Amino acid sequence: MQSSFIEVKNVTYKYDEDVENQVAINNVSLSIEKGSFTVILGHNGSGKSTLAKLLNGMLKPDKGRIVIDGLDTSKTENEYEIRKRLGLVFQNPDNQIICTIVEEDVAFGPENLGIEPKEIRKRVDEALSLVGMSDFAKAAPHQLSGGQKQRVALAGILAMEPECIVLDEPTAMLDPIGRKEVINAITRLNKEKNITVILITHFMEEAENADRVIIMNKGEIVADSEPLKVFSMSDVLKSSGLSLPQTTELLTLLKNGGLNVNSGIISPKGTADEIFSVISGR
Amino acid sequence: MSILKTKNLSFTYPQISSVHHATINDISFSLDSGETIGIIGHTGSGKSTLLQTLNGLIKPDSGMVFLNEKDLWENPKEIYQKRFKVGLVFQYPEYQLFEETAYKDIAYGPKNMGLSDEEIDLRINEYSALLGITEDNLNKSPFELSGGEKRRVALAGILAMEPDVLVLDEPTAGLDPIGRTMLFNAIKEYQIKTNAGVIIVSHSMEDLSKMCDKLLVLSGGEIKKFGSVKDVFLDSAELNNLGLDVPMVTRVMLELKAKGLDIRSDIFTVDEAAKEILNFFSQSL
Repeated sequence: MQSSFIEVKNVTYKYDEDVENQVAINNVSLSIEKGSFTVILGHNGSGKSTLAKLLNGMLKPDKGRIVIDGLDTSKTENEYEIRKRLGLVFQNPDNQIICTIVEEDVAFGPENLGIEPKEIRKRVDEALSLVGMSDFAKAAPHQLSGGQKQRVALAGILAMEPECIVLDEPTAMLDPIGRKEVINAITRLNKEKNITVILITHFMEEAENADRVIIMNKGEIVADSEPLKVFSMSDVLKSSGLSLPQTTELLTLLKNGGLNVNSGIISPKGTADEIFSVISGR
Repeated sequence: MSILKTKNLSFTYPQISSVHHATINDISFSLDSGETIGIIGHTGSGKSTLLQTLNGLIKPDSGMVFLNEKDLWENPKEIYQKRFKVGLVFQYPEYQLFEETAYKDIAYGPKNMGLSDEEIDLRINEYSALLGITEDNLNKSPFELSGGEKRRVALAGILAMEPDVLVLDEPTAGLDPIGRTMLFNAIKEYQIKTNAGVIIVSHSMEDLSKMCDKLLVLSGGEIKKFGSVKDVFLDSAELNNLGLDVPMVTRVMLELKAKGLDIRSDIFTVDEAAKEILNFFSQSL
């Protein structure tokens, strides 16, 4: 019996070209609750993208087991059902958009699922509205900014009505405005539609509103807790090759300098509040 | 000494397609040898257009570009040679790699300059070492390399031409912190060695405050502000109006000041901020 949506048990994965004794994912176990918002942080090569591909069955574990909503990813006959439940969004929006009109592109997924045209229409409209792109339904993708394109890619996944969305560095190629747009859309899907979200990134700022933060390094999980706790582990963050946001770094320095502050805060406003309350509290 | 200078530079794209291209209007600024200027602006502010006028990929409608005090377009037939002097590194330059091996890709620019094979080999060794490209990777196909490694190969290809001015359009986009630090260090080292002028476009205010002497704020194709990093970031209201941010740590200091603390807010680095706050704290005891 299991209550979680995703169950990863002692999974190890090694790419063919990997050197002997070096694995991409090393004996990783974790479970993800339905409706939760989890952020996976790690530097390039930490194994986080490999984990994403293992989750939707693109890669099969060498050892261990992954079960999505009761379906084992290593069984080929489950592939179709798993991909219906778990959608994957990648880094480069240009590689994910194939049609010449935005709404056609969003309809592509549900069409392949064999859904009725009337229902597709409904889903496309709803998906575009959820990511704030309704006004661009008839636009050509090349006229859109990076952030807009990435939201179209997200709508295309949404139109398949998955229960879980895994996003692999969806904002890495976007400017700050585009980054905000995409993160806001993702947060909304989680809060309003109760979609389980797994966001893979190396921007710590994007993990601020998550329920849970997991840090990966060298194919292993090195931290797994709520954001405030994980972000105060500055040694673990640094040794995992993550750069701390200026705010967290500042709070760590203040703590070392004798101020009794919590160093796991990320937003500038929250940081100022924390410093102010400690200073004025004495 | 000014190594690159623009005077009243303007350019509008011909209206031939529905795609919107950003124009630039009346741009004048000057870059000295050994100096680093950061350009801030949103997508569509005209950054990429401006960068392409600097090495002659775009010929301005009006205004002038001076390289080493000489008109860049003095003799349009020589513009090809001028491009070796102003090395332009595009966004995601790794998509432009095409040769059979990383070595040949780095050699492409220097070869076009007409350098001898010995000189080219010397430069490749020097700049791959600077960028941490291993000998093993030099002999691989660029397509076998990781994203960060490819980026460094692309940059090495530009550095090997030893340009007087290095222009970089979001050089660290998509790189993780380790890759970012490595790239910035290499750029600094190149600058120290050659006294080149450097222009960096970036969205990271934190990175710009670390790397740059001056900042140029571009919006709607026009210069909204040009000055020292301090002068530009001090005017946070103006930046906010343009939808741009000051560094995170500056925002913390501004918040503290707004709460009534008598504290400096012209601070852009973490070390300075920590010093100021701890100082304030010990004095208020």
